[in-house]
Amino acid sequence: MTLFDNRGAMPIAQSRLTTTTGSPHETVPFFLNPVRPLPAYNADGAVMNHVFYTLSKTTRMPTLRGLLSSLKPGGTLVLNEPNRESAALPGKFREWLTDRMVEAAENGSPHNEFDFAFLAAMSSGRLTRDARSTDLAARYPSRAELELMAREAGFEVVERGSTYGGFSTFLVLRKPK
Amino acid sequence: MILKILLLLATAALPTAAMDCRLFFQQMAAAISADVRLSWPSTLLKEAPPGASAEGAGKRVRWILDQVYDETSPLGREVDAYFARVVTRENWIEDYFRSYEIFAFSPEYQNVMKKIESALPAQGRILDVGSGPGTLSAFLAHISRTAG
Repeated sequence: MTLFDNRGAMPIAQSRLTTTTGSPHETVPFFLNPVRPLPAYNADGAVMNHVFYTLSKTTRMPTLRGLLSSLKPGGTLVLNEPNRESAALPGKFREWLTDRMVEAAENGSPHNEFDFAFLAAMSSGRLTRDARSTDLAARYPSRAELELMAREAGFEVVERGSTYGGFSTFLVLRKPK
Repeated sequence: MILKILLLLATAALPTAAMDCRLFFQQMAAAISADVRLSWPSTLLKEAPPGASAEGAGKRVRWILDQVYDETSPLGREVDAYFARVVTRENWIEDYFRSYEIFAFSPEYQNVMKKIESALPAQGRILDVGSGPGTLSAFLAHISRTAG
């Protein structure tokens, strides 16, 4: 079970969110569930957060084009991805995440020490990949590359910015009408 | 354990969108963490600062994370060995979901989710493409807090 079982958020999420696995309950980490070919959802919006970089380079453009076809004309895709610039500063990103976890503890998070350690280990990649042998810089697209790929796939760039303390590229894209 | 959770769910009055999610988190976490803590290497945490106050809780978490990140520290080594076992458990996904909910208590992390949500259409269906619990947990928490 998860903490989301029977929670008020779930019906709302189910009314708004469609996941590639069919249900928010079934959403599983990307490394267990590579993104499947996307059917035409005719969706009003889509979000892809820290997923794109996990795709092989040969599947990135087909995925973006698949997303384009899954949206209604005028539909919005929010793309938020760690950028290559941040890969040069892994310690800084870890500090940022640590600060967020400390902030959560100070803010009354009821999670126990195991949870914090688990999240730290997960966020640092120790549970999901061998960080020492993974060339993150090669996997993370630069800000310019991500925007270029989005344009080449057929999206219009509505907004660009950054998130996660500047370590992620934030793009709001639109399918042309 | 299961009975405790069922009882908790039954008495949670089927929370609505407007409910205090934090309270529900606390109830659920208390029920779940009892089992998890049984196998956590707590003896290695004796040197950690006490976490009674809010500030103390933050210092304690920072100390633990420093140890976890240092793979040569006793706790870091223990964590590696422990997680090597944990990830083989069938319910480790639950650990994953639950741990990511920590970010729901970070205002700055929530701001990222607000930014994502506010960029999406207010009406209609949204396709979440494999974003996983990191996004989903905080995103849902934000939705539930703002929807009521």
